[in-house]
Amino acid sequence: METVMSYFMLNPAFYIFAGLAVILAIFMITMPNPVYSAIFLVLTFFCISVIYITLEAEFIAAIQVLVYTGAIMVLFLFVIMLLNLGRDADLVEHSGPMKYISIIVAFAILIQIGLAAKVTVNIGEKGMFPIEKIREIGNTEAIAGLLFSDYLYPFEIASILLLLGMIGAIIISKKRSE
Amino acid sequence: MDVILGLLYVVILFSLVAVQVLILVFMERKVSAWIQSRIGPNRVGPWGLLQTTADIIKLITKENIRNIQSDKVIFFLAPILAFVAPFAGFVTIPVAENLGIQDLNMGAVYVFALGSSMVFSVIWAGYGSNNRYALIGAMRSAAQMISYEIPLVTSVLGVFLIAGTLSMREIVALQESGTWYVIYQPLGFILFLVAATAEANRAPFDLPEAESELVAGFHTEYSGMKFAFFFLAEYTEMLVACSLMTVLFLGGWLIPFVDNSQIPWWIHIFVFIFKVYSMIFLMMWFRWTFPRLRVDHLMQFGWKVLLPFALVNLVVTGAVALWLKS
Repeated sequence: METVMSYFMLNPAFYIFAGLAVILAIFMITMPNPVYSAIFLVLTFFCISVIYITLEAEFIAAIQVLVYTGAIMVLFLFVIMLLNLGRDADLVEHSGPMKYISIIVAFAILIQIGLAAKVTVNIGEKGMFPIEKIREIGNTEAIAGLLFSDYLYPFEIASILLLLGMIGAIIISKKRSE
Repeated sequence: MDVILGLLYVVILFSLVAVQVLILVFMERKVSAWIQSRIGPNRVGPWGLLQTTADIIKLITKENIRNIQSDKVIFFLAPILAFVAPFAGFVTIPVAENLGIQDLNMGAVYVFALGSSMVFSVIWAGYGSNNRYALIGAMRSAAQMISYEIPLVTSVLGVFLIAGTLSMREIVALQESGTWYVIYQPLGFILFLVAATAEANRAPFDLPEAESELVAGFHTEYSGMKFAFFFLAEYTEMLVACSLMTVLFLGGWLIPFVDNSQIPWWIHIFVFIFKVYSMIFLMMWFRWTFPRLRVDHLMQFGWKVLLPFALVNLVVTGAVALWLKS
């Protein structure tokens, strides 16, 4: 119990918002109305961006909100609202025994992740970018420096993939309208 | 202790913004009257100064009506988010050299991130009202806000390229030694002004609430205090957009051709406010001069005019910056 408290006191904001993110994510899964699910997912994203801020990664926090909530979730909401999914009751899934098996599997994975985290995270070495260094050079500069030097090729490949996806989407929508 | 200080900041900021909005609504009425050769409000108080206050009292005392088939929670959340998102943007805006709540390392991106979550309030308002006009208005508005956000962000990237920083205070400080960025980035400034007007849902881009077609768009079902929040949100957004323009392009609190370190801080505040209000006046001028765009023209203008120009501006700025460096 004491160790739990000492962990909490180390960074209370992280534990509060991490817990909140988990609770909101559970709400998101259990909501019968998909629009509510989308709202809870948006709130979860906000909590995650607060966690980034506690890690001094302000740039990633802002980009998280800009991209995930501002762009992706808006499209999700559009799709949900345009699909006209019908009454909430029709959407409840009755999957029988699979439901219980999946719960057991999910818990097994959770325990595995917890054990792995206990082994690696606590006694892990400090990386190349500890918080002191990020504070010194600024978190935006740190990301930009890495992205355009060591990770240039993955970055370019990802941009080409996204561009291809965009062109593909335009072609598909053009074909339907003709 | 930090929490109490933070709450204090919120209260001070809220009262400041509320007063600004009162002034802005009055200013909009007088400006529109002046442009249309009318007198404008002149009965309540001297020169009609208390007209807005009277309107607010009317709004607060109005009955709070909610459509029985509307979605209670979403209907309630939408106006709150509409106000909170632009309001929180003020946190990072520097008014004078050492006056501003928090200078973030990525200040400008933070404001854009908040602006992008504004779309939700509109969609929620439309969906929660359970009203066709409201939903159509919300859909139009969401499409418009997503489309104009891209040129909005792309048009300021040139400024960030020249400045080499995202921090608002540093951007203003850099304009002290050199010139204002509006000189280097005239195209970027015009694009930003147009896109910001559209983001704030102001005429000639006020399709989401086009009174003559949609009965008022996404806030058709709102009344009383909740409507007041949408009203407040629109003007707050305008304030944030104009403050951003002042900081990024017009040199923030700086006075040109003068040694700014000799000037007391309270004059800097007045300079900043003067610049912001000049931009707001420009936006009001737009509203009462240009007719409303049609919805397909609006989307075409955003994607086929603003975005290509913003991209060209970015590429040219990048090339010149690279050339000057080498």
